[in-house]
Amino acid sequence: MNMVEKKIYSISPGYLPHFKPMFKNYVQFGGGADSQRYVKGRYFSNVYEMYVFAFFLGLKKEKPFEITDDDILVKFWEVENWKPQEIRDHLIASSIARTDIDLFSLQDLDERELTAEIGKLKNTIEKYANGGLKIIATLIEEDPDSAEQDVFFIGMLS
Amino acid sequence: MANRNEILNNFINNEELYELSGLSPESLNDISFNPDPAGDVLVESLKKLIHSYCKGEAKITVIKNINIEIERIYRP
Amino acid sequence: MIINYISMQNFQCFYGHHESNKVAFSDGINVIIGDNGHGKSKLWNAFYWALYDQIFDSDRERFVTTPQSEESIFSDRAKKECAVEEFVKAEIKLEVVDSRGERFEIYRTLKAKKLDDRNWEVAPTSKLLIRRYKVTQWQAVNESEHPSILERVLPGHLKPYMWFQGEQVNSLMDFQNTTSLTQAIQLLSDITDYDQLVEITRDGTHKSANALRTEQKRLSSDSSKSEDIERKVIAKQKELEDEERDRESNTKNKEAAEIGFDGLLNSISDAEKRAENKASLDSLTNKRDTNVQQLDSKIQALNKKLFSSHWVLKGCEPSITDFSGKYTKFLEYHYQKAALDKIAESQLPVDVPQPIFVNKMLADEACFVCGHLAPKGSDEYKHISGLLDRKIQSSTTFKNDCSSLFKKLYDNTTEYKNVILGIDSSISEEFSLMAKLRSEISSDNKSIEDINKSFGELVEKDQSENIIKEFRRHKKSLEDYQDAIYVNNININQITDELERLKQQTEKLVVGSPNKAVEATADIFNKLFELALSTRGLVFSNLVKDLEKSANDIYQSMAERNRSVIGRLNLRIMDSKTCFPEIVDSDGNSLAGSNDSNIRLVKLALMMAVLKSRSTWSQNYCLVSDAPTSKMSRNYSEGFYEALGKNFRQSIVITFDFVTETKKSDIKINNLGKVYKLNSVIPDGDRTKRDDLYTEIKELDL
Repeated sequence: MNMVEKKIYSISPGYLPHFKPMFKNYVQFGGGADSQRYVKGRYFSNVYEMYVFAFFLGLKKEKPFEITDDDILVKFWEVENWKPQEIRDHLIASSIARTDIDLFSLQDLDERELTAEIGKLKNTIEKYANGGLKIIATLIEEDPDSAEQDVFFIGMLS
Repeated sequence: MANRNEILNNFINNEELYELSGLSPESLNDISFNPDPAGDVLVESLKKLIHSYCKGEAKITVIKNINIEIERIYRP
Repeated sequence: MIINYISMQNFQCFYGHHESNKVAFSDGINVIIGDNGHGKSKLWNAFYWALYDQIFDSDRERFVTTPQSEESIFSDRAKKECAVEEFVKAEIKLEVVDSRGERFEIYRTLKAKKLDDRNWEVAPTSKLLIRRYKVTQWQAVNESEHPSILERVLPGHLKPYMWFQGEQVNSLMDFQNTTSLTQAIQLLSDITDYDQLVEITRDGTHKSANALRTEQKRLSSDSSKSEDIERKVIAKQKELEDEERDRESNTKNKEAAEIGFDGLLNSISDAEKRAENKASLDSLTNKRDTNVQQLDSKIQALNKKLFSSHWVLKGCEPSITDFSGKYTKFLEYHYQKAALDKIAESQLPVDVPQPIFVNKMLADEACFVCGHLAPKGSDEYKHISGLLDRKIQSSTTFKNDCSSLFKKLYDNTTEYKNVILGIDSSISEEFSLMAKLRSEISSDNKSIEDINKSFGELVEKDQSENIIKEFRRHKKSLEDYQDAIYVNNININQITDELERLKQQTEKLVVGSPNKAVEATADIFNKLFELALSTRGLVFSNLVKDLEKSANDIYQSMAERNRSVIGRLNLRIMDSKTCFPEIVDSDGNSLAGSNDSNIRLVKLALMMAVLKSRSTWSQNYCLVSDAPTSKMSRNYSEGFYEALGKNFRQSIVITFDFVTETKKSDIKINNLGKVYKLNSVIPDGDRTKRDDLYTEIKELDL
């Protein structure tokens, strides 16, 4: 693995702290059977699953939420641990598409320069993911009852 | 007094023993109450359980004998 | 043990000495025939008193001990003939032989002193004497051996099933009671060994799990957190035990409700309509339950499909297309650079040809390689001259070649293009399937409700108000218990998952390596417990299957003389521990309206099958029965005797049957042993005066 690959897979993006309760409500920490997850209304097995969902939601709706250097984000697992691999690849590819980054010149940058470029990629991931989380939060606020429904998240796909 | 060979046979004929021990059905057919120093730990423990129970030993003694058998396998 | 003979002295209606009241037995079916009131039940009492120091008191309708029976033990005639201040003695002598051929004599004696014509001083207890025949003589057996010898005559757990009165058969094999047959199976088989093994391994599992947790606590990087987890584990384990106990209780109650419900359904007289409804109900219920399970699974796994079916990628096509564009551009530049590298690689090495030859070519104005002229000033001359100015061209490399990374991303996203395009139809297909299941469930529920209503109407048409109330009560109980069990199962799953999670938390805190033997022991005991449970279940179901076959074989042979519908015995396994007997037709539907005769026969067949399951029992012990065929038709009785003779080495049947037969040859039974007729005799013929009564025991000859 070269340095570019290493740095991309080591990205550990974050979310804004005020989204923490939402993760607590919808994520089954520590795994568990489908039935166990279901009866508690936990629709995601891990934080990254919900984060990935939020990313694609923000991307699809073209509603990124700008993250600045001043924002302190809650971090979780690195990208290399996210599964399944094909969905992770789509996330990376989509982020690259939406980042002002020259793929060719990446290959000749030194470490410092590379870190800065990959930082832009991280920022893209974060802004779309937090954008998606904001959409979810708004929906919950507008209609708390629908937020309890089995099809709450699937409904957001349309 | 319980017939220990019959009891052992009934356990051997239970397919779940293959799954839990990972042994093949053929090797399970060769099982007897003779101690097998190189035997599978689950099978040796099972033999100890049946043997000890059929001797009329108290519940706590049966458990102790199984513990000793497992320790023997893990600390030769 | 096998019984050689019994003899009575002044015992109840058997007046006189042993010699005049002796009944000897052989192998086969020994029959003692008597009309009612002629001593049959007193002979039964003789056997009972000899072994158990009890007799059946027909006034009190129960067994009573010797002190409770007072002077009713003694023959009235013997009491009348006894002088005041003298003693009367009642005695039974039983000779038995065990499987090794060892003979025993069992004497039970009771004395009473006559105080006056009405009053007696009866000894507080009877006396027991046992003798063993050794070599050539009888020797008294030490009193300490008495209990074990009596137990060997007929072991206590076999007694209810081998020495019984006809009217006890119903309660011994109560078809309304799941425990009745189950108790018989447990008493008479080795299933208790497997129950014990389950208990031992369950206990072992708890102990080894505790030991592992102690080991993990010892190695914990955060002991207070470990303590906290331990407290939670203990609380959850208690919760689990309570929930499992609750589920067991609900299951038993549900089974009782099911049996009550089925029983009432079976009382509906329109058998055809009932059978039709039952078949539809069963099939619809199965279909509905399968659909409910499927729907539950789909609902629970729905959100998982976001990732497993890639639904989450819906709508990302524009960004993937943009990525493809970026990648194409990357490739262009990448190959351009690569091409340059290739060009540099394909040039001649700097020192070929060597400068000396280059200078010679320039001097001669000709190329030595191709032989062409190269006059001064020509292109060819310039090219040769250029060879002198060559420098080493270094090939260009990338610091971080990303071509394979981006190619992988490109290939993987291209591969899923069609999948993404198909997401909409995948989602809508899943929802259609779920809607279809919901609709089928709803329709089946409606049909089930209609059938139940129709059952209710059939019951109401037939039955009294009480039965109808019972029917509704059982139906409601059944539904309530089913719901309760569903909730129990959900709770048990949740608690089990929680315990697993706590276990993983504990494991995460461990620093270093736990003792391998401790870990292995916990794992092995878990597996042994699982194995013990499933083996017990297998043994039980094999036992029940064998029992069902054996009972049906006996039942069929008993009933073959009777041409009316007899059905067959079905042993329904309710769970891994209980089973429930019922009589069914060839389609498996419960046969209602089986007459008492039929039911008695089935129960006797079942009892015989249970006793036959161990061949030593039917060969080493005598079956003694008082009036087993009462309430049975002649055909069925004959069938019973046939089966008895075939399956038991020795039996003694005290009966009203064959009362009109005068010779042994008149009694059409195979494997017949000795046959006696009892006749109570009152010398002056006044049957109201029983003081002079004695019983004549006459062996019937050919």
